[in-house]
Amino acid sequence: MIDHQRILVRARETWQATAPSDAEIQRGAQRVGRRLRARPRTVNRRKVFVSIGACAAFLAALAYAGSPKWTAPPAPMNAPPAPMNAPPAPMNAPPAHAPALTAPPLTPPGATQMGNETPAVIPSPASEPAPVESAPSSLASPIAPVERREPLVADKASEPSWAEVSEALSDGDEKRAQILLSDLARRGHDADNRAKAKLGLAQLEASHGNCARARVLALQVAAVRGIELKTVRRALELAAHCTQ
Amino acid sequence: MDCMAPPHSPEPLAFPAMVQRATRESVGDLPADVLAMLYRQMRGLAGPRADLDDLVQAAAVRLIRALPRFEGRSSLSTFAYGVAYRTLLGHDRWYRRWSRRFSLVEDQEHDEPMVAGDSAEQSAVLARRATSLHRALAQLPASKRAVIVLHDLEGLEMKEVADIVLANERTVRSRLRDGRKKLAAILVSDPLFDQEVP
Repeated sequence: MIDHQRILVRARETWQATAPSDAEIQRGAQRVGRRLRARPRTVNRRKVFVSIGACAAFLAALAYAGSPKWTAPPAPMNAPPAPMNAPPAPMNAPPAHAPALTAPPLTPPGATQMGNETPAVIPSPASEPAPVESAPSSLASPIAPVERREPLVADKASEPSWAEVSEALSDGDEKRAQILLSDLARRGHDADNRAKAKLGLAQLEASHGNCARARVLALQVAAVRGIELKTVRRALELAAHCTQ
Repeated sequence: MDCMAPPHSPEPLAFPAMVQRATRESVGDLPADVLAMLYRQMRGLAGPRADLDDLVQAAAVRLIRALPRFEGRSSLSTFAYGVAYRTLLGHDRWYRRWSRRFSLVEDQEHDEPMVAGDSAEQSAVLARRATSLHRALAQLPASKRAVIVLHDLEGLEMKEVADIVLANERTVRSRLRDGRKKLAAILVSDPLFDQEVP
């Protein structure tokens, strides 16, 4: 036990005799202080990079969300139908038969007839325009599509209504009806409305015997996503009738 | 074993002002006197080792984050000692787990401490003895090594040691007794501790 105490006393003496000098402590503290001062700069630089990246990602997300892709602009009128592999017929090709008499009538967007519809003969509501077969023969010539380009952000007040289209068709003014439908096909307030307007154009073309043009338009309508199934079915029916 | 006067009495510091400044500013603005005190404490607890600067840096970061929770019931030196002790414990625990998975080359031997003695022979004996002492301390468990360093070698009071290691005084006395036995058992076989310094 005495040896142990003596050894521990010597250990304490050794500890005190070999204690680090103040200069050594100061040097070490300065080394650590330099490290500590350097540390926040790297952290801040990293934070800056992360913040810039996050801001860029946020702005890119905003730009992507605000792109016209989400507003579903109308497809160009003369574009060939994408999903079909049939070669597009010339615009002024003579009609193979007279499908205009059996073309389904125009349907306003508000009239829903889901359920018991027959493919060939669709009952038209009271607000629907007059049948296309009542069109005068002087207007049976191929109708040139209206190629007016308008800005994507359309003026809501100037958007034609289906009542105007119906009125023009009732008056037998197919030229005006076609202009209104073209306008509606470009500037309708939703994709379904635009698709129905384009389907109306296709029916007009079919009534004038321009089956190739009618088929192109109908297939374009059928290729639009997110519209009512009824509209797609009518477009496909029109395209099928035209090919018969 | 009577305690001698502590070899390094901590200087009084303007603690409230330092705490306010430290909480307001970054870690790099830790006052130089606090950093030197922390370095000295960690040097005593961990001994001369290669990663001493890393340990002090980690303890400084921990201290600056712990300062707002300091209630002033003990001195700043005791509080900083506690931070250094817990940092060392955490580091050693991590090192043990890490070395269990990977085989490491043993740390390189450090230079013997420079001793300003009366003669070259005395300085050499003291330096070799210090190396043996640090090696023997390194063989002790961390809790026992800490109480021996703090109480027997640094000369702190038992209550201060208990505050630092977050244990009651009886536990500290028990650890001290066991640690002394183990340390003496290691050093008794060392011929350097069996002879007087010339």
